[in-house]
Amino acid sequence: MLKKDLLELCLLQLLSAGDQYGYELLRRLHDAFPDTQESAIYAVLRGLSREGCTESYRAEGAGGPDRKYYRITGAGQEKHRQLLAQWRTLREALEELEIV
Amino acid sequence: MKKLHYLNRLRLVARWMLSPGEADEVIADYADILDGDLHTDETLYRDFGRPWRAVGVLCQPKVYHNWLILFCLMAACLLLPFCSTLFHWYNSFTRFWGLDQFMLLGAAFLLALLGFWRFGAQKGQLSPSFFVLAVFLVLLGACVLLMTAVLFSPSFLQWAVQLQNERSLRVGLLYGSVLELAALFSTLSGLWSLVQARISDRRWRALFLLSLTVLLAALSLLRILKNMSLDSDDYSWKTWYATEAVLLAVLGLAGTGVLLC
Repeated sequence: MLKKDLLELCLLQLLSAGDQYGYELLRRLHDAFPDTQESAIYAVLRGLSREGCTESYRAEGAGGPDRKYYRITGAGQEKHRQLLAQWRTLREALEELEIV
Repeated sequence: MKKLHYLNRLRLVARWMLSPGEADEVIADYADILDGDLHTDETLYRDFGRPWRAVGVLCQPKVYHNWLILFCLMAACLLLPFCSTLFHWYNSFTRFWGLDQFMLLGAAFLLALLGFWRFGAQKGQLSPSFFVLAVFLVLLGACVLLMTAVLFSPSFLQWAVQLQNERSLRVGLLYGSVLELAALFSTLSGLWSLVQARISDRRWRALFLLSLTVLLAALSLLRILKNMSLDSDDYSWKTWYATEAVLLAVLGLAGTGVLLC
C-alpha cells in the first residue's frame, strides 16, 4: 500500500464521519503525518475530487467568511471500502510476520 | 506578510503550470487554507514547501510538457530572427527572409491562435500595461516604417552618395544600431507578451504577433541596409521590398486584430 493510498484512506475516513473544510482536513492529517507536507496532502485531496470521490461546496464558516467544505460521494465511499480492505489485508500480513 | 508573498508567488506559478480553470481553483483553495491557517512565517515554507513544489505536485506532466513545447515554438518564432540580427546572419538569411518571413508570421499566428485557445483564458478587463506596450510597439513599428521611407527617398540616397566614406559609414552604423535596438525591444516585448498571455489574459498573444511583425520589419530593413549599393542606378528592388513591407505590416496588424478577440 503506497503512502498516497494511505493518505487517501485517511482523508476518506475523516470525510465519512462528516463534511469538513479544507484547512481542517490538512491540519488533522499533517498532525498525524508530520513528515508529509500539507501541499502534498492537498494534492491527494484534489486527486480524490478529480476522481469524483469527493465534492465541494461553499458554506458559512463558524463566525467567519464562507469556506469551501468537502463531502464524500458514493464513489468515495466505495473507494473507502476498497482501501480499508487493502489496509486490513496489509495489517494481517504484517501481524503474520510479527512486525506489528 | 510572508503569507501574502507566498500566495502571490503561488498565484504566478499556478497560472504558469496549470490550466486556467484548475489554476483558479487551486489559488482560491490556497487563499482559503492560508486564511484560516495558524502557520507562522517560519513554518509556512516548512509545511507547504516552495510554491513551485506545491504546484508541481498538482500539475499533469503531459499537459504541462505540451504547454512548454508550444511556448518554446512560439518563442523560437521571435528568437530565430532576433539571433540572426544579433549574430549578423543577414547574408546567410537573405534567401530565408523572403517568402519565409511570411511563413514564420503565419506559423506564429496559428500557434498563438490555437495554442492559447487551449492553454490560455480570457479574463475581464486588460491591465493598463497591455495598452502601454501596444502603443509602444505601434510607435516602434511606425519608426521602422519612417526609417524605410527615409532610406528609400531619392534625396536621402543622393545625399548619402555625396558624403565622404567615413561619414556615410557613420550614418549607416547609426541606422543599423537603431534597427538592432528596435529588434531587441520587439523581441523582449514579444517574450513578455507570451508569458502574460499564459499567466494573465490570452489576449496578450496579440502583442506577441505585433512584436514579431515589428521585429521582421526591422530585420528586413537591416538586410536591405547591409546589402544595398548606394551608387547603383538600379532600384527596381525598391518596389518589390516596399510591397513586401506593406504586405507584412497589413498581415501582421490583421493577425493582431484577430488574436485580440
